[in-house]
Amino acid sequence: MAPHNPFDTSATSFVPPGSKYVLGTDDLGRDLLSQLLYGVRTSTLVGGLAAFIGAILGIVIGALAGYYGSVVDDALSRITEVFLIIPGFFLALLIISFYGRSIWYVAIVLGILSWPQVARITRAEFLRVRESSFVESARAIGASNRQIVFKEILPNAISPALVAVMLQIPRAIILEAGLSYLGLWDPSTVSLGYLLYSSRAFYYNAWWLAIFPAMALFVVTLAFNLLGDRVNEELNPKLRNLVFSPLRS
Amino acid sequence: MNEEEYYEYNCEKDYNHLNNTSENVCFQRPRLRQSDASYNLFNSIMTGNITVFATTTNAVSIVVYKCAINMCTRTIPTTRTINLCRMLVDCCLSKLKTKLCAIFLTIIIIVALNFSHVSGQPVSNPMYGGTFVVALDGDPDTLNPSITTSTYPQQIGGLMFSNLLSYDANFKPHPDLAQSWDVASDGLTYTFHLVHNATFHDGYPLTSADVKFTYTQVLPKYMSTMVKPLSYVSSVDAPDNYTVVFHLSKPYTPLFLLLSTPNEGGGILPAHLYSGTNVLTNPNNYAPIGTGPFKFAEWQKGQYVKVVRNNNYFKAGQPYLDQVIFKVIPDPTTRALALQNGDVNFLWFYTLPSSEVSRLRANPNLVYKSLVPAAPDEVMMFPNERNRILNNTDVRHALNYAINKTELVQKVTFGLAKEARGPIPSAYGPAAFDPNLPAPEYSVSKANQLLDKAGYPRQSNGTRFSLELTWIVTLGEMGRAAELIKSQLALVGVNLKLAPRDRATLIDTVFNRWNYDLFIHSMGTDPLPDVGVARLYVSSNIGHNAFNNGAAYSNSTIDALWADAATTTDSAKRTQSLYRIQEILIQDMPMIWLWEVNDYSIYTGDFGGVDPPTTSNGAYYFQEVYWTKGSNVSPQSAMQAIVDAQSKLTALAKQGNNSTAAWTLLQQAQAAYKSGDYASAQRLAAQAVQSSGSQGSPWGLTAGLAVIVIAAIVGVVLLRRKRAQARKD
Repeated sequence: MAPHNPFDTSATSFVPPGSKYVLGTDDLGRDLLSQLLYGVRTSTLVGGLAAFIGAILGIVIGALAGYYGSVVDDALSRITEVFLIIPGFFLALLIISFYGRSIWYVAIVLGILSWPQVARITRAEFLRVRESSFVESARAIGASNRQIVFKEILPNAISPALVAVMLQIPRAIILEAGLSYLGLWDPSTVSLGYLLYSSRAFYYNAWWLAIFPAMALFVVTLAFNLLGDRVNEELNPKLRNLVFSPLRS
Repeated sequence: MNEEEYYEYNCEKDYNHLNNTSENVCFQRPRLRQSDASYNLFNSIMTGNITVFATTTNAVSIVVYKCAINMCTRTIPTTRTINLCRMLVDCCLSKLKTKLCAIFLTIIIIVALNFSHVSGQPVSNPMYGGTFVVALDGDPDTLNPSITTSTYPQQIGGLMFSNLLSYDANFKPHPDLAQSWDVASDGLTYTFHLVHNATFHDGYPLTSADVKFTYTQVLPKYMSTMVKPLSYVSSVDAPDNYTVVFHLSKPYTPLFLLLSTPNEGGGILPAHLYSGTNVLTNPNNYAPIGTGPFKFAEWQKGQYVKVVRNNNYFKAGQPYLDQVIFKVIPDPTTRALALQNGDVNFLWFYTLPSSEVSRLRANPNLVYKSLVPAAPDEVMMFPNERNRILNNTDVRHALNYAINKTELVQKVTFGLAKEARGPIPSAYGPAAFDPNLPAPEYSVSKANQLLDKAGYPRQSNGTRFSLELTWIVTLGEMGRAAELIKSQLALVGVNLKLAPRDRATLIDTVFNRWNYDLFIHSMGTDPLPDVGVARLYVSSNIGHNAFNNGAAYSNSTIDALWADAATTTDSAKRTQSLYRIQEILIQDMPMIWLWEVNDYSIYTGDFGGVDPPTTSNGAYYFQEVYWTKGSNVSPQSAMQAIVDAQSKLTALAKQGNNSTAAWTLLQQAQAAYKSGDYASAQRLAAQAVQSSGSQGSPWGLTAGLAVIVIAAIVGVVLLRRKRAQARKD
């Protein structure tokens, strides 16, 4: 899809946006549009992976806490709270400076940082659904714990958690961009934050180097936020039928 | 000094990156022209002087002559003014041809009236006063230039300390603390005679004991550049207070070129404050007491370091600036903006990103200076010879062919640097740098051939092998170079993995654990090839010392040649050895030399005397910088005038002749002195004396007026006579 190889430096430096290089070239003569496209891909990948890791961890921990309650709930909730009070950005900084720069580390770190919110929501949902009559009935007819959790509770409790996961994606993208902007990027890959970081020295020479990545970052995060809203609407029966629901009831 | 030589040395090719042309840039040219012209002028005036007073006692001719001197010494000597002066002087000599003289007198009056328009700028004499603000990117770690080679301590500390000698661009020694010196013919004994009037800022006189202390207790222990050279010094003697004798165990020519602060030779420390203490933790390192032109004033950590004029500096008339402030501004873009706004007066290649240069250069209020090459620093890539792939000379040559240095210079340094030719930077000049070295060649096909030959054919995915390239992550230029090299090497099938590290981790990885493939860094080769260049290639330096021969290159011929070059007293032989070293190193390619670091500076146009450092560790020295808006009067003479006036007024007061007006004027003079306006201070002091009723008048002004009035009268008289004659005819 990209018109040029994003690492190809054969073009002249600082070509302004035009017909050959649609968004211009950077200081080393790389095509900005191609870099942007790769950057969006990297950012989405990192965001998606982080959200996925966060979702798995969060839902499992939240489910355990919510379903079993008592001691398990207490222990897991305290762990969740500990993770919630850790300043995520600084933990990410620390881990990356210790273990090296790689987008996989960034994704994993962001995933580890984003699970507590999901876990809390899942736990709350589990607590609510656990007490409902259909779970009682399932339990009454002798369903196993696994059956109850996966067949009865999870489908009814997962939608708010999924919405929270969707909203973790733009958050992870922004965090990744922040880390890259501080220079903690993986130089073998292109990311939006790194594009912004390297444009810093050339504000006066090449405005396009800062403007376009910033716009791309804005558009990508906005898109994921809107997607999250949409998922929320689709999954929540009350919201899905918002227009009709007052009339019906 | 031979002016011809000076002139040539300073003319260097400057690659103009904007239109890819090259132009000659000569920094000393205007100054040379000026001195050249002044010399002519001086000659004609002096001959005139002798002849006029010897041959004629005619009052008018002397008046004309004085006008000539007045005019000629106050303008920039251009061809026009020189010719005018010559004609005036000739006129005085030619038995006063009245007509000619009438014409010349008219000219003089016209010139005097249109003085500023005709002559343009005044002669750039150093002016006194002013504050010079220099931006740094971070705090210096210490202010003592004798315990570290780090740039900021050299630069700031260099203003507060002095050493035995100073050097010009040709490594020619000039007196500093040593007013004269003798070198024994066998090269084993150096005798230095110190100046008698140098004092430390705390009032203690500088004696040979301080020099001896510094050269025996401090520099050989803590100054990395001096450790090896001073190991040849068997003893330092101080036979009397102002004589220092160095005894060497065997001849070591480079030593003599290291005895100055700008050459990383450190500064002479006060023995009375340092002896018996731990030199590294002495509080004096953070609030130095030295003999330099500036005194330490204040250091607000993370904000600024301030130094102020030392009025007791041993070189009379210096320094010119009132104070120099080194301001910490961490962000490069902010530094560039501060320079643009005039909040900062000076940025140089250490503190000004090359991307900002072309924009600031276009600003008419700023002066751009560049010396290519000036700083003998080179950016180079260290291939680790412990790596199986890089141990192959063919592979290293292939990498060298595959890296396009011209593109690096254009895209990474914005055309402000110069492609490197070999291990010794061309800034060292033909005495060390072999000008016949072949220019580096960029050839993808040769690189491919060599790699095929070395046994690394392209695999199915097009790559031959992968290597890791590391650099210090805060050095943005290195990072950009690494990205460019990655894309260049991809063309020959070498896959680079980029792995920047922070400084401490990098030093540990590269120089301690030797766990790297390629490492790119800007290496200072100062102060001399024997120290700065040799450290990277001699086999005795294979070890865990940072920035030494971490690549584990070993060649006994090279080791022997370096030793020869350092110990021979014959400069031709030394050059021969150095040329041979370059030849062998280029064959062996233990290092891939990329580009010679450029030296550029940009400063606000209201300052003068900013010269690029001649031997550079990237440190600029501001000893001779002056403010063009300052006053002609030196603070010393203003202070003298005030003191004189005070004593006169006191004497008069004792005689009962007390004038309050005079005392008020004197107070105003003192206030003006404090605010740095030395000209007003001197004028007010003189007025105070005058208004007290004592002798003394501004005779200069009166004399000047008298000259013009007399000239006018004479002119009118002559014209009248001429008219009367015309009427008669």
